[in-house]
Amino acid sequence: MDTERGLNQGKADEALRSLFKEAGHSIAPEGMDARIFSRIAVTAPSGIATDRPIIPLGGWIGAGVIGVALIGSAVISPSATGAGWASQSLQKMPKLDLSGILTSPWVLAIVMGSIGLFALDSILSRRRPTSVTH
Amino acid sequence: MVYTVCVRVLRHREEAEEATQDTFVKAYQNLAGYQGGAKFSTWLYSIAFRTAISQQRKHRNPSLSLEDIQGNEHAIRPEDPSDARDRKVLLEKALSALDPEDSALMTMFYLDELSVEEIVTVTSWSTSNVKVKLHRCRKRMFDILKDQLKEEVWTLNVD
Repeated sequence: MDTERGLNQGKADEALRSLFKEAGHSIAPEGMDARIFSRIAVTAPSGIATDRPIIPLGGWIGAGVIGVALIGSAVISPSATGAGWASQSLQKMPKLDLSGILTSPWVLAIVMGSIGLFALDSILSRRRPTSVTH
Repeated sequence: MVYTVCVRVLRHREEAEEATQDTFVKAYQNLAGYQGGAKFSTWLYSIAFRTAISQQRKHRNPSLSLEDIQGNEHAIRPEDPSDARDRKVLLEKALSALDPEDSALMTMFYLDELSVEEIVTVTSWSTSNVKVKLHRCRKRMFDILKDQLKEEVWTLNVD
């Protein structure tokens, strides 16, 4: 305690950090970069492992062709009705009326509540003091 | 920063240059071993530290004059530490009183602002060991600097 002149550790850290920062890094001599690069140039290549892709290029091309074919078969009509099997299937599905849900007071309350909570969180996070490092 | 760590540990300019080159070559050769668990700089630091320690054991040359550190560019005038270069000389003098590894430890902590956890990664020392060393080195440096820098060091502006 005596040797540190009554300074607490935080102030001691600040003083030493200030001294170190003022002194800075040792400066490498001229030409160090060139010497390093010349040594690396004659060094055996690094053991960077270039893993083979899980799906090769041919696989991606095949998947793309199959995808395009499926979309085409779904959209383009194979019959005289003029509609593909996708639109035919959609017509057979039951219709769901969403207009009642969107005007429900419960949904409106949830939406308004969420907006309010997000706004409150945003205000509180702005007013939160930033952390102080020693 | 790699060179700084090497200088701190080896305390010899030419050996520090050699260790710095070795560090980058080793890093290049072992790039595949970098898993991304730590920051790249921390990983590079650990290679530099181990390389410098290894070289130090090989050469056993812990002595470094202040002139060597400073490149003989400035005379030591501890009675007038108002100049930044004088303070730098005094800092080097205080660091040279520490063990080479401890000198590197202080540089990592105060200059490069590595956390204790990062220093543990670099040095492979235990967390408690790093904390104890930091405490002892801080006290030791204060003992050395207190008379020469007097009150001035405590009034330096902190960035």
